[in-house]
Amino acid sequence: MPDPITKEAFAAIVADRGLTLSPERFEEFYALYPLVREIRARLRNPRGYDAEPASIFSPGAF
Amino acid sequence: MTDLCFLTIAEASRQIAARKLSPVELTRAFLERIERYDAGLNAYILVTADKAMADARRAEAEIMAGRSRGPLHGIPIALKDIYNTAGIATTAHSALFKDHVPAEDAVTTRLLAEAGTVLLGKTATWEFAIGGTSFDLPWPPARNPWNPKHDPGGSSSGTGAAVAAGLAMAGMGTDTGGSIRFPAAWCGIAGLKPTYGLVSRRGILPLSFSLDHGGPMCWTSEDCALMMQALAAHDPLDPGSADVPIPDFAAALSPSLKGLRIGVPRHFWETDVDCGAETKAAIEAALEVYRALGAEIVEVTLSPLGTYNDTGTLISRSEAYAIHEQYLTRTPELYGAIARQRISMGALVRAPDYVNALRLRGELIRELAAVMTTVDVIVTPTTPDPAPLLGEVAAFMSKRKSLFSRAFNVTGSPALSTPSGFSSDGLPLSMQIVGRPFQDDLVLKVGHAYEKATAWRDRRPVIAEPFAAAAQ
Repeated sequence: MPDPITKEAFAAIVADRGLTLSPERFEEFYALYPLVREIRARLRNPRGYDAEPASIFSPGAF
Repeated sequence: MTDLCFLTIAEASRQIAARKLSPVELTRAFLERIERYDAGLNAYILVTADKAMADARRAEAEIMAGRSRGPLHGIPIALKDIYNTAGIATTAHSALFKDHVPAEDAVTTRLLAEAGTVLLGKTATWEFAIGGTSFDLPWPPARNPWNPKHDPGGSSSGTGAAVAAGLAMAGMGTDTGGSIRFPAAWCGIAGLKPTYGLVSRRGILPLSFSLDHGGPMCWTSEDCALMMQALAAHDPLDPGSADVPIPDFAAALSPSLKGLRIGVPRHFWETDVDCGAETKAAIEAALEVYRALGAEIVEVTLSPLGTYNDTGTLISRSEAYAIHEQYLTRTPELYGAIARQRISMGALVRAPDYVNALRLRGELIRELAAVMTTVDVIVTPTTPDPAPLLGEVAAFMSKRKSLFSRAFNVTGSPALSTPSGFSSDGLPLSMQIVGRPFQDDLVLKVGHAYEKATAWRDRRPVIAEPFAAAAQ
């Protein structure tokens, strides 16, 4: 589980993304952030250089 | 008149070809039924009655003149309201696009028109195909025809409800994480998410470039095959379109599955997800049907469903935010709360996380491809449970209650949902059939064989009148 983020730090992220949030929406969004961080953490496994991105499904791969 | 609305495309097209059924009469029956029942179902955002009658008259004249265009000629259909229709509003069920009138048809809209279909109207959707069942939009959400107090699933909610209720003979949905198969499952119809690249996405409002698929929603797999014959085509202007041979989808259908190997990733519903007892019993019963049809059942193991879901969710939210950023930062108030929240999640994903999700996606594609060298198709439930009450989807869905569909958007595989029975309270249960890339015809064959071996397709929802009052 990632460490919690402060509201001040989260407000800086939101501002950087260009989002203007009402206080109510800010709280809603702030509550969502741990879920995003959990997904990110679960996907962040070590991979070799040969593990290239699958940008789109490629029929040639089969 | 109602009986006409419960014909399949296959049945209706035979009668039309034999000049025993008039497309004009058929279209009129659907329009009357929509008028009578849709006030309580909310399947349609817009009914294009005048266009439908004009389409039907043209179809009838051509058929009477001996110029049949094939099995879809004169068949009344509906389009999810994210398919562009020239001169007809395409709203995405959103205040943001309330007045959006495209100048051109989507490629799929055009192909279906060229096949001679009759456009009944544009159907309700979760806002921008992501918003969930929402009550803060310009139009109400669609309801489930099997019980209007229950949710039809989404995002192709209106198409699912319309086809199940006999308000369209077929329709089009889109599927980024399950949005064809999910409403097909809860509305008790067949819905195919084709292989990525087989059906053009051009002119369909995008949600996630690399996960979006357009596909048919019909009463039967056979009808999906008839629709696919018109829809499957290389589109050089769609960057994801594949230039592959197009099979004869209907010709591939047969009741025998002798020698077919069906892979069963039982961990998906036994350990990865909290799946309901009725759904589990239905899938085991379906596998018994397949054994009786000559198939061999093979246990297979894939990565945990959650890994596929995490990958798909992170990619789809990132791509959705890239599409919506300009609107979300300028006019967030024009979105409903659920769509705004779900899309905005993409603003919180960092570039390395998106790239790593794409890398993991490559691994998952290769994993599935390896498993698919040992089996012909994979069978799972489509949803862990039948439909909850309307508006309770967000609470119902969780990590332990996820759909089984998103995994196969991540891999681009063809995947069909078809009904596998009913719950004790009369709501549809469904299973998902997944194939190798571009073996959509085999997937439809496996669905068709099951439908022919069981009686689930004989049962239609009974929609009581006055429907609207009962639904409140």
